[in-house]
Amino acid sequence: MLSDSMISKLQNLTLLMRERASGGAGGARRSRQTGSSSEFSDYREYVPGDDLRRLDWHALARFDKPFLKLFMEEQESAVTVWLDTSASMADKWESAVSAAEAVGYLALGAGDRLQTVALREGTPLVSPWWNGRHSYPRLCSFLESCVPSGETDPVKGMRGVERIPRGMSILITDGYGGTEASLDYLRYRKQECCVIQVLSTFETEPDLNGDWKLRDAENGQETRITADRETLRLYQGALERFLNGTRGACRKREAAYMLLDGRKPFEEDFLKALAGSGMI
Amino acid sequence: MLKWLQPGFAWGFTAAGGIILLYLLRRRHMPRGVPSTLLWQEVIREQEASHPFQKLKRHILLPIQLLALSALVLALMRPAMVPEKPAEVPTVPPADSQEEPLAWREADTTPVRIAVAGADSVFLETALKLRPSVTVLRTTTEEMASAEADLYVYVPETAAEAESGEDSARAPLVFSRTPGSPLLSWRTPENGEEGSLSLYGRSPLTEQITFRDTAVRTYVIPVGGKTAATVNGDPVIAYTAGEVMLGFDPQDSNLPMKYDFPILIQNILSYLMPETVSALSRETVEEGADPGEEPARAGEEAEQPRELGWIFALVFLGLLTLEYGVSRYVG
Repeated sequence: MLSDSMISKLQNLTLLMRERASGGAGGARRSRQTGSSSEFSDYREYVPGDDLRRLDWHALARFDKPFLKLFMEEQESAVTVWLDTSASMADKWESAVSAAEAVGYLALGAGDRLQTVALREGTPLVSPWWNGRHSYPRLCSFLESCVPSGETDPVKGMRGVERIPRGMSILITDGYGGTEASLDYLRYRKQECCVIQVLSTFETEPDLNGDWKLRDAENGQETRITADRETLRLYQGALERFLNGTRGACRKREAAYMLLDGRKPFEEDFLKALAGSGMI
Repeated sequence: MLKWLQPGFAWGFTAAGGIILLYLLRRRHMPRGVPSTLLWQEVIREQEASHPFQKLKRHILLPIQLLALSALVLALMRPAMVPEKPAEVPTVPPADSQEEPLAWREADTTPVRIAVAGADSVFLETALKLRPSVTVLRTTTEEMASAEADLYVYVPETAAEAESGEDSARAPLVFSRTPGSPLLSWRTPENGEEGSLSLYGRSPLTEQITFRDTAVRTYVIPVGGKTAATVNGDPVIAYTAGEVMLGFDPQDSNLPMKYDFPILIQNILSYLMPETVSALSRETVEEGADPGEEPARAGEEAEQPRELGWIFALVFLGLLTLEYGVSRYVG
C-alpha cells in the first residue's frame, strides 16, 4: 500500500485522457455526448418535444425564434491496468505493484472505472470493476494476491480478457516480453495506451565482476559472461538501445511512456516520471 | 636410427598433467539468476561480432600449450639420428667353430692360395681358412717372393719381440697382392700405446664390424692409404689398392676373441681379391671402396650423431609465439 504522503500527493493529480469518454455512466470526464452538466456546449433550434427548461429565453426575445441551450455530458472512463507478473518482474515487483496502486488510485480518484489484469502464464487474473477511492483497499488486496512467476506472453494474456471497454490501458512491465505487440493489440481494442517500464537496480547498473553463469528467470536459459569493464560498457549500450526501442514503440503508437529506475526511491521517481510522461 | 641423448627429460611430459589440471581447476562461472538474459545475449553477440575468434581462442590455447610443452621436452631429450651400426649377430662363426658359413659354401668356389710368412698365428690362419677355397701356404719372408700365391701375408714378430723388450722391432701385419716390400710405410706412435680400437668412417674392411670393447696393447701407425680404424686417434688399419696394413698384431690384442676378427679377415680377402667373391659381395665392396670419397669426412658423417633437437626447439618457439599471439591479439 502506498504511504500517506504519496496518497496525499496523488489526490491532486488526474489522469489525462485525450479521447473523450463514451458509453460509460456519469462521471467526471467529458464525453462525446451532450448532457446535463453545467458546462455550455452549443445551441440548436428548438424542436417540439425538447425540454422547455433548456430554452434560451434571451435568444427567443432577441430573434423571435426558439433556441435550445446544449450542455456537455460528463461520463466516467474505463481504465485497465495490465500488470506483467512474469518471473522477470520478481526483483522489481515492489516498484511494479506500487506503480499499479498509484495509477489505480489516480483512476479511482478521477471517478473512472478501474480494472486490473495480472498477465501471467496461462489465463490472466482479472479483477472486478471498481469505482471510487473507497475501492482502493480492494485494489491493494488484489495486487497482493499476485505473485510473479513463469513465462508470460502479454498479448496472449490480453486476448484472454473478454471485455475491454474503450478507454485507457496502462501497461506495467519490464518490456522483455515485447511491448510493440502489446501496444498494437491494445490500440486495436481502441485503448489509449500508457506504458510504465520498470527496471531493477541490477538491470540498470549490474554489479557484476568476473565470470558468471547468468540464468534467465523465465526460461532458465544460461548465458556465460566475463563481466569486465568492456562487457559492462556493452551492456549499457544494449540497455540504452532496449529502452529507446520501447520508448520509440510508444511514440509511434501515441502511447505515453514512463520509466521507473530501480536505483531511485519510488515515490520521487514515480511522480517525476509521471509528470514527464504526459499522463497527468 | 633415432636415439635420445637425454632421455631423462621425458619426465617433463608429466607437466602436461599440470597444465590440464590448471585448466580443470580454473575459476568456474558462478551461477546467478537474472530477470532476463536478453540484453546479455546481445552483449555476447556484439562481442563475438567485434571479436570473431573469441570462441576459437578459448578452445585453441590448451592444445597449443600442450604442443609447446611436448616440443620443449622433445628438444631437451635431444633426439639424434645415429648411423645404424651392424648388429653383433655372428654371420661368421667364431674362429674355433668347425661349421662353415652357408653363404660362402655356395658363392665362393674359386681356389685361392695365400702365402703366410713370419710368426705363427693360429687365429689368423683359422680365419683365413674359413673360406673353403683358401689354401694357406706356410713360408718364410725370404722365400715369399718365390711362392706362387694370390695373396701374401706378413705376420710380425711383435708379441715375441715385446716380451724380449725390443720395441723398435715392432712391425705391422701386412696383406698384399704382391710379394716384397709393402706399399705402405709405418711409424711408431709418439705417446700412448695401449688403446681401444675404433672405426674410422666407412670402409670395405670394416663392413659388419663394430670393434666394441676391443683393445690393442701395442701398435704402429701405418702411413699413407685410407684409414679404416684408429687407436687413440692414430690410424692402425690402412688400406690401399692391393694392400692392407694392420698396425698391430692381432695376437697382441683381444680382437681374435671377438666375432669381428674373422669378419675383418674375410673383409680383407674380399677387398684384396674381389674376383673371388660373389657378385653381391663385390658390389658391396666396390661401393665401400669409392675412390672419390674422402675417408675422414665420411667417417665424421657416419660417426657423429645428427642432432634433431633444434627442430623441436624451433617448433617450441613457434608455438610459444602462436600462444602469445592468440592470447594477446585474437578475440
